[in-house]
Amino acid sequence: MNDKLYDLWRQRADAEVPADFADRVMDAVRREPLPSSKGVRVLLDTPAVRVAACILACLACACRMAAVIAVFFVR
Amino acid sequence: MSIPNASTRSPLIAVILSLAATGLGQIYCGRIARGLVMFLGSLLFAPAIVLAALLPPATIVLVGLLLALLTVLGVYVFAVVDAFRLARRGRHDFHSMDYNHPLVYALIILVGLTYSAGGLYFIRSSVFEAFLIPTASEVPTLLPGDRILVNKMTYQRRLVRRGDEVVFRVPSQPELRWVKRVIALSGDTVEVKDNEVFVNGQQLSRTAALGAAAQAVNGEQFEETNAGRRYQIFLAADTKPSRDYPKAKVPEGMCFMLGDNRNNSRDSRTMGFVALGDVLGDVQYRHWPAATWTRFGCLTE
Repeated sequence: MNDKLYDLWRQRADAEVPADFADRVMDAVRREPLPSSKGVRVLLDTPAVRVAACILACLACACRMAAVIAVFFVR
Repeated sequence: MSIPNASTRSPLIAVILSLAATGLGQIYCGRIARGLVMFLGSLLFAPAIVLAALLPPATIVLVGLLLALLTVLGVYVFAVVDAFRLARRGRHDFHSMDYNHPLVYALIILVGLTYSAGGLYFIRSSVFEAFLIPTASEVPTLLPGDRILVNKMTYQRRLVRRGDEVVFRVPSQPELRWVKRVIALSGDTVEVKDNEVFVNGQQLSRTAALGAAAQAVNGEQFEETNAGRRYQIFLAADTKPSRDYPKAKVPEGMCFMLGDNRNNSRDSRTMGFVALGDVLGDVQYRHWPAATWTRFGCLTE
């Protein structure tokens, strides 16, 4: 289906596509990380955010572990 | 669909995600199947506890439950280590997938945390609840300091029986929970005279038993039989016998309770009948016994 669309576009655009067109596109994609993961990585570059994320994750883990064994603890 | 790009996997993010939700670190590293297996495995604690409540009470069931819960905790720890190793290995050659998106991660964390909180609430309110025994009113069955597991599903499947050791709301103080033994049910006549119990005109049979409580404290220990159920009771010699209870018929929807430490127990002789609706569940396990670990396990074995 994509090939059909691509051929349609080529006919409409009447463009000459170089032989290494697909390779160049994929190279560009490889060079550019996904915006979402890039955002998270940039955010985690800040030490304060990194510490906060670690603390929150540890808290979540502690809560989940506590839920598993809480049946044996008196309220 | 796979989108190759230059994105690498950060071990720190993998560990953080794995701590927040078991298996999420693996999903972040592109191992969706392994991650989902770990995530679903981490949710198995609630079904394991429900299964233990549905099985007939036995020490092996309690041991099995403990092992199952320890395994789940082991999966939690293994998932964190595994996510770290995966992220380090896949640092330079990673193909980001559709599911490698912060919103997907947030959704999985939310599901995991909600399940944990909801599961805990459900288990405590409807499956098992732990109690600490503060007094000696149930000696020799339960000693002060014993930690017990009460099965709240028992009476959803069957009616209260004579001889059951149960936890109930105290009629005069509903916020309090007491543990006593059911002696008589609706329609039965009950009488207590000189520490002898009569149900429907028949004296409950007793045979002398030698127990640790009788040896440690001056008193007599007996094995009492009520409707085919056998349990130990204790009559302390250094306390005066508790008051008698005149012959009475147990009203509809009520039951008559006595403590196993007959001379040292506040029970139906003083507080009257207890509504069956106030019975929360039956005491099945001593998971943390007070005196010796030989008392660990099922109460009825």
